[in-house]
Amino acid sequence: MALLIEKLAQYWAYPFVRYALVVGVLVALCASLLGVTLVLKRFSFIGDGLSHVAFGAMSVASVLNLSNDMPLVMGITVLCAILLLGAGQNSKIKGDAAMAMLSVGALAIGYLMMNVFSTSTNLTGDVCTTLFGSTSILTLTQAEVWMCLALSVVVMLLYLFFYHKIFSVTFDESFASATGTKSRVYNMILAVVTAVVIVMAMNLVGSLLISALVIFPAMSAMRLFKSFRAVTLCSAVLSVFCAAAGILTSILAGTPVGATIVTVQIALFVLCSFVGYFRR
Amino acid sequence: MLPAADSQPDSQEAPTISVDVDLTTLSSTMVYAEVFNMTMSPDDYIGKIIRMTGIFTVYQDPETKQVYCGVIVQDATACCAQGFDIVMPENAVYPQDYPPAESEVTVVGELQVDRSMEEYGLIFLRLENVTFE
Repeated sequence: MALLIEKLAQYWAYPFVRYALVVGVLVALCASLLGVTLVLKRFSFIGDGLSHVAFGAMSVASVLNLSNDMPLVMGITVLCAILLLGAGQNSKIKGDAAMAMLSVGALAIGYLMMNVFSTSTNLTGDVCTTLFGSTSILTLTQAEVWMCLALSVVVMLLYLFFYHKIFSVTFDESFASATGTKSRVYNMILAVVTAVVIVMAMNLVGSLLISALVIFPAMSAMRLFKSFRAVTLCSAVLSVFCAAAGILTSILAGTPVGATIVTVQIALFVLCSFVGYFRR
Repeated sequence: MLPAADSQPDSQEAPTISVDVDLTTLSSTMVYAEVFNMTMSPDDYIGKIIRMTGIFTVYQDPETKQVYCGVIVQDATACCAQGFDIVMPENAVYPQDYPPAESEVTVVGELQVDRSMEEYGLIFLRLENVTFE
């Protein structure tokens, strides 16, 4: 145990470890806040869909040799999020079909473009890193950390200020509209915030594992609590714990960061399921 | 006074090199991240003595017979690699004085930068005055 603490103290001296923990915890927190709403609205796989769109956008940025791909990636992802979530319940193509079309379409086009117009010397590595995010979180620059910090604060403030409206739109959008809530506006806000969180989360767990950040904390919390507020708070705590534990475990054990975080989340979900079962 | 029975004649010991950055004490995930950090911010590490374990790679140009070698580390999913060129001692003859290709080696060397291609936006990091453990 003393050896472990000594190792952690040694690793803590590296700035990229501190950056990874700060960003990882913030991103996990934001993803968990959104996760409860998305799971209840049956949009659990939105993370997957939007992350594939972001991958496609990154491919376009890479082909165009853009030095900073964030504006393009964020812009395209936000646009697709608005198309998917902003339309609400009355869209002609329903949630899961629309998500599937955008998701696989963006992934295929992105990979095709990278293959045909590749400017990278390590195409496989670039694709693999984006999809699985094995060490992306450990290679952040200070500017990226500040940006993630700022975006996370904005996401949390938006959630805090619009909590009651988000609550009503989540549970009964039609009733919310009928009682004067501008459901379309709040759906748009949710869409934009989701896109921002997804793009930030790609650095943490990669495109393929983002849905875990959204789904597992919410589902684990639902095993333990029933009220929306309690589930949201519990989801946030569990998500932060899993992110921190996953990052620390991966740097100690030499495992991929994203996969380790998701494994910790799965273990915690099983534990919460047991606790919830015996509490009944 | 008789000398101690187990005394040994003084042996000449190689001077121990003081290592500034020892990557061999880190996990594989940390090693990759630190090497990436070094390639992104080389000025913070130029002139420092680096100790690292990685895969020894070597290539001989069939036309010029020039030998290029380096040491690389991979990330946890083994899809990405980072590393440094190695400048072998002048009297080293390929292949007998070189470690086997693709073998795991522990190398200690001074990190320097090759700026000959800087006008094209490329700089190469390399380990000089290397010793293999």
